[in-house]
Amino acid sequence: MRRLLLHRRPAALALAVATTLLTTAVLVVGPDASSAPAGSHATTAATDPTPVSSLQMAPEIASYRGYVTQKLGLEASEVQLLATAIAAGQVGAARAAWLTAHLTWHRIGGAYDAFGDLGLAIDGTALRLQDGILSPQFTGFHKVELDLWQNGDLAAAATDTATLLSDVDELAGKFPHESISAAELPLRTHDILEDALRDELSGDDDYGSGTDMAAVEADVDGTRELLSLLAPVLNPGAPHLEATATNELNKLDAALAATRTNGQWVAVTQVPLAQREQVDGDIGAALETLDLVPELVQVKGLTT
Amino acid sequence: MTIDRRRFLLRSGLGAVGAFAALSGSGDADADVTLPVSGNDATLGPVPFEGRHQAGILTALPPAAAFLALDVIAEDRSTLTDLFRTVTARARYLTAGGVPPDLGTASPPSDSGTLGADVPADALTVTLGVSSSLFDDRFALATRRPIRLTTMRAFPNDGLNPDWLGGDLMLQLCAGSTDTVLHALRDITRHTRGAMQVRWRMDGFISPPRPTGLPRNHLGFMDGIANPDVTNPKIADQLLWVVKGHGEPAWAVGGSYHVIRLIRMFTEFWDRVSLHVQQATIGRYRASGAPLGMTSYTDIPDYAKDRHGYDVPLTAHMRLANPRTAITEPSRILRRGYNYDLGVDVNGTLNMGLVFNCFQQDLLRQFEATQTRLVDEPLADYIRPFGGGYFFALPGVRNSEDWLGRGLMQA
Repeated sequence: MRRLLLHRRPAALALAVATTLLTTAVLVVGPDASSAPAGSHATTAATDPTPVSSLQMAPEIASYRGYVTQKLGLEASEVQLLATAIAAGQVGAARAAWLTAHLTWHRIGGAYDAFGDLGLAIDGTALRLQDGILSPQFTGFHKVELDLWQNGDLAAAATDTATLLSDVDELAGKFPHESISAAELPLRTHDILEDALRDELSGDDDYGSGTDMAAVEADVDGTRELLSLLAPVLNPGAPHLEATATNELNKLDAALAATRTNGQWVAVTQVPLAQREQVDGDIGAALETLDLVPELVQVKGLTT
Repeated sequence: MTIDRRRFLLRSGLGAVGAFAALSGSGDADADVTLPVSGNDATLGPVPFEGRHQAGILTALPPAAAFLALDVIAEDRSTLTDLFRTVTARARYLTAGGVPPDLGTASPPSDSGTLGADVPADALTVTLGVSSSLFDDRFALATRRPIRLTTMRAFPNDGLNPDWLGGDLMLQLCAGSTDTVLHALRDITRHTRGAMQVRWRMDGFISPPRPTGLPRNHLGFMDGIANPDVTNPKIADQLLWVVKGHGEPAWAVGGSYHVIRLIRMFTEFWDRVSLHVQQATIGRYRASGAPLGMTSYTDIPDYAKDRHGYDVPLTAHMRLANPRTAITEPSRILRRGYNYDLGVDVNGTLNMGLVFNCFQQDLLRQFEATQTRLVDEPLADYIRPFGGGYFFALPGVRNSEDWLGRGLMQA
């Protein structure tokens, strides 16, 4: 989740303050900026947006809360299956269970610090830590990935999965009661794939499983979910955006699927250049469309 | 003082550069055409090498730079002394320019020849610093370490890559053009083989003002606008130079702490963000460089009047970096940033960013205090610091007998 600016310029198009709830948020929907010809990404800015009542966003936020809550329940059960496989000493089953659980996290749209410190504990990498992979703060999916693939250390994997399970449970318990700013949804519709491009398609967050392409596929699922949630808000001002973005996401999905060899995912750096270029180009094209979403759905935060 | 000697290469036909010329393609296969090179015709004069302080700190920023972190591989103290003397001698020659010695036909040429037969000074400055690792047990220098010289720590939004960290020495080379920088780099490394080895290197450049004002960074914003007035010696002694009476070793007086941070900018992402958000993130208008709510890049924002951040958001980079309060004034730093541009990453995105480069009297009080205020700023989403280090720029070379590091080695 991109950091929201603490900006309270009354007359201007401002982003919401993070603490602003849907109580006072005013939605501003711009004109259709998605009618540019195919292949062109003219950056038509939203001009003279029409304010819409904040109540219009309430159903979207409720749907989003329901989606994430349901998926967090699934996540907890999948991490439990991972723990079971590790306890049984079944490395192959554990690796498969890890991937299933990790992809669910990406489908939630958990990328990009969406869930604060708990989110980082669940899916952060060692990159930001002073002592890297040796840091005690390096926990979660990628630590278990390191244990299972690079270190072959089932004892560490068991301990780290217990921590992961406890963090997922904590988030699943907290999330239904967390406040969600209306400004978060349009930003996240754009941010999930920015995160995928930066951290996954660079291979930066591969700790041995070589499943980044699968994670991007799950990110696409999460993005589609947000896009369809926001469609009722987007469509009046930008009737073609959802269809354009959907086409581009379909292309990206096809490019991702093409990187599988004999049904297996291949590490980003091992994918042949031509296939990688297709994925990188398709995600870039989708992002150039999705970047209009935060512009079109601007939530003006009015602090109480 | 700089001398602007203009040279033009606007002649066509057979000439000294004819060997590299393209065929004109218009019939006469024997006629060579030299394509004119425009806008690349200035050579700058020399910057004095000697002084109380090293050049390259207060010196005006020329457009090209290289930053080299080097590891000392010399085995003993006398070889380290020789290394300092050699770097000094080369810097003294290179920054003055002149005709390199002719060694005759029995040996390779004394000079790479990349700047021609008569080496121009071209505003070259050579600025040498030492890091805390030089004060380990190799050279018995531990008791002489500048007391504020620490190792760069990871800040919360950093993603540090060991390939771009560390080094016993820092060599900052700045000049009027890239060939001058690279010529100096080749000359100095050639003369110091076996004593030091390049650990990492980042080249930088400064763009011309577009259209006026200050140069812009890759985010499109003017950078380095708000530097303290260190041309005022009183301010320089408060913010820039190590002075007597701060517990520092006597030899360190006249030096300055040097911080380099290699900061990747995610320019594709940034380009997908609205101008409004870009400006609110930085705190200035992108086109003019003026603080939000003001008209000129030279305008000073009045945060006391803008307490709620209606004009400049409270989390804007500019405002957090320098809140302009009495309490934060002693934390100001002298920035000498350069843009970098380093090809593409494995995912096809452009690898470009900023060589954040600053000098100060006290690392903790100045750079670290500033950086701590910036933790989790909105700009952090679009950038990633990945390398660099803390160094101590040595005091200057006082006269023709003096050499860089003399005080340190002979204290």
